[in-house]
Amino acid sequence: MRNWYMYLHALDGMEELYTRDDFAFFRNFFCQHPEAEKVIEAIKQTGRIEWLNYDKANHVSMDYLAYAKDPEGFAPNCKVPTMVIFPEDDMFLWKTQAADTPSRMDAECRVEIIQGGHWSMLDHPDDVNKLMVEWFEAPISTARQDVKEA
Amino acid sequence: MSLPGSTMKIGGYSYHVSDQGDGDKVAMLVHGMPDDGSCWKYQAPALLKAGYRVIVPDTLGYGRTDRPVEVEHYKLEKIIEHMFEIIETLGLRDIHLMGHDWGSAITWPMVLQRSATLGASMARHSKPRSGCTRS
Repeated sequence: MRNWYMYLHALDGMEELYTRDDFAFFRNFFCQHPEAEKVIEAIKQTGRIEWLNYDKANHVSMDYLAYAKDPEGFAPNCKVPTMVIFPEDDMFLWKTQAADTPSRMDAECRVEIIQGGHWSMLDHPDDVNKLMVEWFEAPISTARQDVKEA
Repeated sequence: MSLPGSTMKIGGYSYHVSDQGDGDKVAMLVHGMPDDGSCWKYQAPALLKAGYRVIVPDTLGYGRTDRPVEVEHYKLEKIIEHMFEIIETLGLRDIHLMGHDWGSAITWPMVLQRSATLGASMARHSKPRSGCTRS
């Protein structure tokens, strides 16, 4: 389960674990982040990590439970044309999450598998920019509905 | 780290929102964890060059936006309301929406709730909000 960290973030002690020993655990955990040092500097400004509260306030287990109880009624299909960009080396999320998206769509859906890690908008910005502008500019009627490999 | 912008009062909090460009086309980019709006520093110029007005907030708890310490401030439903309040305050329509990580967990419910406001969306590395699909 790649998103185990969401549970870790909800536990006591994470702020201290991330910051102690000059952010050693943080650097290991966010090793794929091209600008981890800038994030560390931002944390040092207050000495706190307020964003851990996102995982504390929104327990993904409740979503999993709701989905298990009612897969069809969990959420309506999306009616807005959507493109999903998934970087091949993403260490936190599953490729199947991207590939399965068209099954939850009532509109055009394009899935692009590209090179890069979780923060591909930073490590492969040109690839992301090309897809982003192309998608936003494309007439809806011509949007593709397939999955492309990098 | 945040992109250049100004402060808006949203949901009772001070939000830092970058609002660049004056095109008729509008794009809103929502960052994830552990970033702020500056993670879009390569995408915002590309969109500006393509003629877009580009909206990039620092979401609650990040960058120059308020960073309350209490957990209850961070319920997803509230953060989504904040994004819609930014859209309404700026008088935006037909928005192209893009999210990354937790930003996708914010933008996906946005497109489910108000399809008419949002023109086309991109869910980058969708945050898992259900067992087998995407945010």
